Amino acid sequence: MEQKAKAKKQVDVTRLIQYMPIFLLVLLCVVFTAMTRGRFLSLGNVKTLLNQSLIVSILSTGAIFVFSTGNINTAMGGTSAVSAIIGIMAFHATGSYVLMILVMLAVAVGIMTATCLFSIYFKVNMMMMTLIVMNLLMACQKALLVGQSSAKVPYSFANDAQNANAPLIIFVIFYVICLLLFNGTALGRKLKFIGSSQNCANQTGIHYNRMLLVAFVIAGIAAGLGGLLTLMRSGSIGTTTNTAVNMDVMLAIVLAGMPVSGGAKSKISAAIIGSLLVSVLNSGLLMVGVSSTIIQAIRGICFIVIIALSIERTGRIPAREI
Amino acid sequence: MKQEMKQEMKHVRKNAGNIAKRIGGMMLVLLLVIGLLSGCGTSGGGNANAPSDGNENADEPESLKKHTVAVIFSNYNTANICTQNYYKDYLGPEFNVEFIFSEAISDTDAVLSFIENAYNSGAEAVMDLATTNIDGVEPALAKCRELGMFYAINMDISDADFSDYDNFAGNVTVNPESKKETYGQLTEYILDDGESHNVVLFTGASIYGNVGHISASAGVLEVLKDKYDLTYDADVEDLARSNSITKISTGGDVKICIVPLSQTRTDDMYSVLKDGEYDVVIDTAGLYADFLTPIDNVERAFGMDIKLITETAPSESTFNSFNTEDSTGNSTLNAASLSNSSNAGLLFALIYNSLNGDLDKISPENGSGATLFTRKWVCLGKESYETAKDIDTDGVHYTYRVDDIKEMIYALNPEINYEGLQDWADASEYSEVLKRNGLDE
Repeated sequence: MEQKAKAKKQVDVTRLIQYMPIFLLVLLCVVFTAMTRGRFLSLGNVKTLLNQSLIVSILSTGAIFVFSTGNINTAMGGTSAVSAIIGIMAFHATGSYVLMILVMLAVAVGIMTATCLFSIYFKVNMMMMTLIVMNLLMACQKALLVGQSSAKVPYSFANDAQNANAPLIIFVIFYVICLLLFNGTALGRKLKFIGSSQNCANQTGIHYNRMLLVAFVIAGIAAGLGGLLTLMRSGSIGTTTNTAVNMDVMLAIVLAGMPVSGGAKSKISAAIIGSLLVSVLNSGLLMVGVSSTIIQAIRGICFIVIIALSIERTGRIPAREI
Repeated sequence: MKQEMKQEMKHVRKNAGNIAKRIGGMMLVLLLVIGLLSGCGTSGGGNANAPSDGNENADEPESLKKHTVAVIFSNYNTANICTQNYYKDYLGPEFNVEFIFSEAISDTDAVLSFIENAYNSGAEAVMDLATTNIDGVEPALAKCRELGMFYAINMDISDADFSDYDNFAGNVTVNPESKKETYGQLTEYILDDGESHNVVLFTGASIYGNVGHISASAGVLEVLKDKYDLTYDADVEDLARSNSITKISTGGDVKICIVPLSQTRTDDMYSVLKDGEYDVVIDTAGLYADFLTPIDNVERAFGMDIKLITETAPSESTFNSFNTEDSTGNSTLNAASLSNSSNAGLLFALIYNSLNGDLDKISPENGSGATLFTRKWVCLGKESYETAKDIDTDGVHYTYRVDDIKEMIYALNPEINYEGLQDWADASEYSEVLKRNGLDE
């Protein structure tokens, strides 16, 4: 009886572990607030943190659908930038912002769908495939901007969007839809099941390719919206825009405690918590006087440590759970 | 029952191990972060004196009030490291200014995030040495205005109008005409041996509209045209903007090939040089290090000397390039356009005047921020480099010394105005710098 109680206590600790990223977020906030004599939690800085994390949050939300299947998508940043550039071209051709947004979404979904289909039909490892696509998109980004320094819309578009809190509204709507899809429908369960064990999922009648395609379509929508949010922030897309955001997306997802191998522990909340953790680290470290180059190194080290801890090792740490 | 209990315990033990490892991992990350926090405070952000942070310096004269300035770099090449040291170790202590340096960023979104974070760390102004396209300036300026920060930029655009922004302190740029002139002189120096040369011209970011690279490329093409009496079938600036490897029509025997910026530039250069037709490579973008291997391979294969001109900053690698012999016994680098810290000094003067409330005193009459034209140095061979190499790098000799900068500050020299600042920008000429540093003997 006593042993049973002990076992129950241990299982409770497991539940506690799920809240570790939130604990880490709170702890970092407390440490930084103490070290900056309260400036870290000033209204202005909190607003800045939320603002800065929106692009990574929206891209991470979409990426989680792919990550939950045990696949890694490194082409989110490139897709968002290229779709935004083509959207801007559509705007310049027609003068319509609505069409621009529709083109952005269509292009991003098209790129992600093509990536997924190519990987499925030619049996190319998904991570390799997205790495290749990432490089292709970087080249496309430069090729599309030949002869100009960047693609831009009138800055008033960005200004008006910021004043109307459009980025936040877009993110909240997209996140709520994804939350419902991931936690409230069979889609989320199937994706996690595939991530836990593709074989078992196949045997229970889950169509792997179809599910993966759906995940990539959602990631495509997120990439399109990510491009839109970037445009709403800066009003232009340059040759290097969003090329480094993939690292932040992956860092956010793993910092929030989601295993890179996907599976049952995949959670949509990782997008928000992880993105906030990345922003808190960036902003907090700078505010306490750590130089920016060292912050970059810290982010890299955090990434390696968390990946090393969450990776599946046969017979040692059971990373995937059904 | 016993078996069941045993299995459950096994599972619990396994879980406990997993949990311990994860807790350990998280703690390790946290310890790492906190450890670095206490050990790596170099940027000055922690001690940042935000405008709202009390009045601990209230008794100090206005000109020496403590200020915090954010500096944005797109990379940490030798020139930018020299600039960082110039600010941090030389000007900072003298003018009571602390600097917050960015990581290497070029993306507008990352620039905006850095500005926001720097502001929250106490920065009152931004010196942008990263943004190279005009479309990136307005969002940064608007963000700075929103936060009540001054903004000055070092960008190769001379006709930008930001008069709508009262927080725009100004732009320090190399005069496109002077850049054209510099590259013209370098080209003349190489062609002066009386022989006929075939030239590969690396036009850098001209395809993306970089004014400096276009001017430098145009300068080279014009000198080639005059020297060899060539006829081009397009304007020199249009030729400079070619977006692919282009062998241009010259109307004569001289061959000129244009190589634009690309991720495969090393391979591009090799593909052009590999037949041994070209014996001069002119790089307008300071990326010559990427071309050293293809040049060396072709020199060895054909036993020929390929002359190299580039844009660079005084550094150990530049010294080595001038002083290392290639396979034919000639200098690896033959001539260079040398950058100096005049842009850094003038940017500082603009921002410091703004922080003292004297922006209107140093702005042109139309009220928009000042545009100051600085100069690059022409370095013709390794002997010429010998004298230039110590300036801005040895911690003693600078393009603008503290006393020079003081002359540019209205609070310390009420005579200074926009024209006066432009005179100082003109005084970045090499001979003037040697004179100020007592190196002209």
